[in-house]
Amino acid sequence: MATNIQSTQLDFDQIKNKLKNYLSAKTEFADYDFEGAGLSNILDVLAYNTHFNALTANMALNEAFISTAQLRSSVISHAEALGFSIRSATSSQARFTATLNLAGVANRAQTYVLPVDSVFTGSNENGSFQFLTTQAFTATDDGTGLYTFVDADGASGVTAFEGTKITKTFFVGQATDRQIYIIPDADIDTTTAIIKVFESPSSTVFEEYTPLKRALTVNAKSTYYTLREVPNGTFELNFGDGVTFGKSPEAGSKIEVTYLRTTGPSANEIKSFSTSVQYNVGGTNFALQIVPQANSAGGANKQGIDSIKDLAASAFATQQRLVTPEDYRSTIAANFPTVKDVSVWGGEDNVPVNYGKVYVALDFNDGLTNAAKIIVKDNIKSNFTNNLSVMSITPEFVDPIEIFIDTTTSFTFNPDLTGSTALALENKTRVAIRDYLLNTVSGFNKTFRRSNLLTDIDEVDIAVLNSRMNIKLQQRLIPTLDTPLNYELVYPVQLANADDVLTIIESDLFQMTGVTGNLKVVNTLSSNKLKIINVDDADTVVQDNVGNFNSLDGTLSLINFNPGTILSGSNFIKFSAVPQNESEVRSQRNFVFKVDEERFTVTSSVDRQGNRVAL
Amino acid sequence: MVTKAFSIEDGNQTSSILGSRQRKYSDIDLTFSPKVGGDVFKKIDAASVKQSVKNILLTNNLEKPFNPDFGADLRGLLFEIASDPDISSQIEEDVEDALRAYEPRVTDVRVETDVNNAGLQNTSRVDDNTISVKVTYRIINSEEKQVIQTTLARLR
Repeated sequence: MATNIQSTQLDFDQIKNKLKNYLSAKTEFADYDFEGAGLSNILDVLAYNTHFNALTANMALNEAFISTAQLRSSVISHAEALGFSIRSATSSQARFTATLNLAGVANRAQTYVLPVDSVFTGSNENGSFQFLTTQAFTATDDGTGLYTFVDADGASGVTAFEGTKITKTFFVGQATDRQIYIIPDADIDTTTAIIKVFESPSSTVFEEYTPLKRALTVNAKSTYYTLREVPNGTFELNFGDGVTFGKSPEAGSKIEVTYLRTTGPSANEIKSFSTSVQYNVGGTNFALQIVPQANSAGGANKQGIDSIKDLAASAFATQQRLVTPEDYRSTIAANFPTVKDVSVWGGEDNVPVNYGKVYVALDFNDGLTNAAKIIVKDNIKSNFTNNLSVMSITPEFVDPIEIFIDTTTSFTFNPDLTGSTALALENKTRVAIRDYLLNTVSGFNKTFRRSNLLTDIDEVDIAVLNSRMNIKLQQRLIPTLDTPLNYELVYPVQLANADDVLTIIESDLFQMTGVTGNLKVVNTLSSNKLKIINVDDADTVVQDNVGNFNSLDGTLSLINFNPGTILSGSNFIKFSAVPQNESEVRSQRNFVFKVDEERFTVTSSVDRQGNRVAL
Repeated sequence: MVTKAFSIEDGNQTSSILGSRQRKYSDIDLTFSPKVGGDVFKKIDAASVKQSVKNILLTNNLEKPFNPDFGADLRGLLFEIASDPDISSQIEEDVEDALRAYEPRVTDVRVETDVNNAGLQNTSRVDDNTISVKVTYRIINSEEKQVIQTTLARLR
């Protein structure tokens, strides 16, 4: 029987109202409007049931598409269908200079080996963590008894990965059954997994399998495996079918899986390490000396849902090929968790134009050593660009140029409208500036818009009446001290023209050998020339021509610049420049916006708008 | 005296005729007792209102979907009795508030409680966690007084 009940709503109350509307047209019952009535109870049940079914149907439909799915298992399933492999948690890496000092020790060997699984321990505010070596390192006597450990390629330094080494053993069953091997561990770093297949349980001969995603060609003899996350968060190991899609371990063989179970980012930022590794020479133990090259870094959680949604579609679009800049971006971001942001541009967009090249700038996570950065770049070249990019296109890595935005903000406020002090409002304003720069501007290919930031500042408190802001772009020069050298700094946009009142270029304070007082570089008013002035001596000119700046190119050239001491104690001098257009600044190519909270100058003034003077 | 009549064409010449609109309260009987024909019984007028008042008394807060405040929440107070000497007045206030909010058909509500059951059932059972509640009310637009008496006790 057809009814006129409309049940297209999702909301409980709306559904119940629809039912009431239906009953209002009937004569049998009149009490549907009273919440205590029995009929109301029955309507509750009906409406709840409809609401529940509608919600379930809605959720099921949402989960059917990657862009709207909320459950991690659904997102992973969709991503896999697009051929996207989900990144597991990754271990934090620590890199040391490891030495053994046996000077004067008799009968010392020519070489010593630091074996696989050597343990190093470090701690931070999250607790104590264990780092393991995953390859052997060797050290050779330098003639004086000092041994410095190097890796198999001869590179100095020892790399250790945070985690606990876990081994899982499986025996392959009947050949007619296709087996999947379950590893009930959600914290695997799959990049550390080593899969060995032994011919029999007692055999010592094994074949090592490699991840399928590294495969270039696959046939019946290819020894590839997949280690994929399943809906409950743990992992499943799978092999080829033994026919066309890679070799399948034969019945009776033994599979040994070893991997690191990691705590991810918790083990980052460890500054010091210890080890109990010792070498016995002539009955005496000598401790291994280690000096960290940098804080531990690179640990990361499993790839998040948002990241998977963002990258899976892009990865599918790339079809495992590096053709467009977006292909490079998605491939690098998906495979290298230590890379925070990627900027890629073609040679046709480069300055100067250089056809046949693709330029890649990588912004790494903080604390990553130069050695680790080089490893990532080499990996990108050897594993990706060499195999997947278009022939005749050569990738070039370009270091990112960090640009900091210095802000000078002033605002007026009416104290009658707020309980906050001027200082509190200024601090809130600093937070608003930091949040805007961190969330909206920080990174490659971003645009700073002053009006948007001022809108945020006006909304800091109802008492803020109006605000204004001047900005400068800051570059950091790392000079060689007490050595006159030429330097060139490049800004991402045109700089303001020389002015007769406003200084366009201004540096941090520094000192020069032989000159008393604190100095800084500024441009001569109404001129593009740069000069060094003594701020402790009424701004007298110490050196009247140390270079110049070019407004059009956004470049700053320093000639025979010879600082002796940097007053800030850092190894760099900040050079701030006023851009041509302070309202909008874009970071293109390898320019990356960063945040320098020391350069947020905020001042406030009181404006009691409601005050009237009685005459 | 004025009498009214329908025409023969309207076919209702002999039925009684009302001068004002009459609305009956009619609700489904929650006992779901079947009639001979298989249909369920209805509750009409005062019985309908009485069933509603009883529903409100026996419903706890958070029981009704998307209406967490509905109900007198008597059962929720069962375990407050021994420790709170003012529980009687609180129950009376709660019941009156609930009926005022959710049952607009009743007026002149008076609630009597006896946590000891001394007055209502002449037994003292303070430690049994038992509440006896007697609600007296009048249905609007009528002079008839209605009384509901219920006793709540914990089940185990």
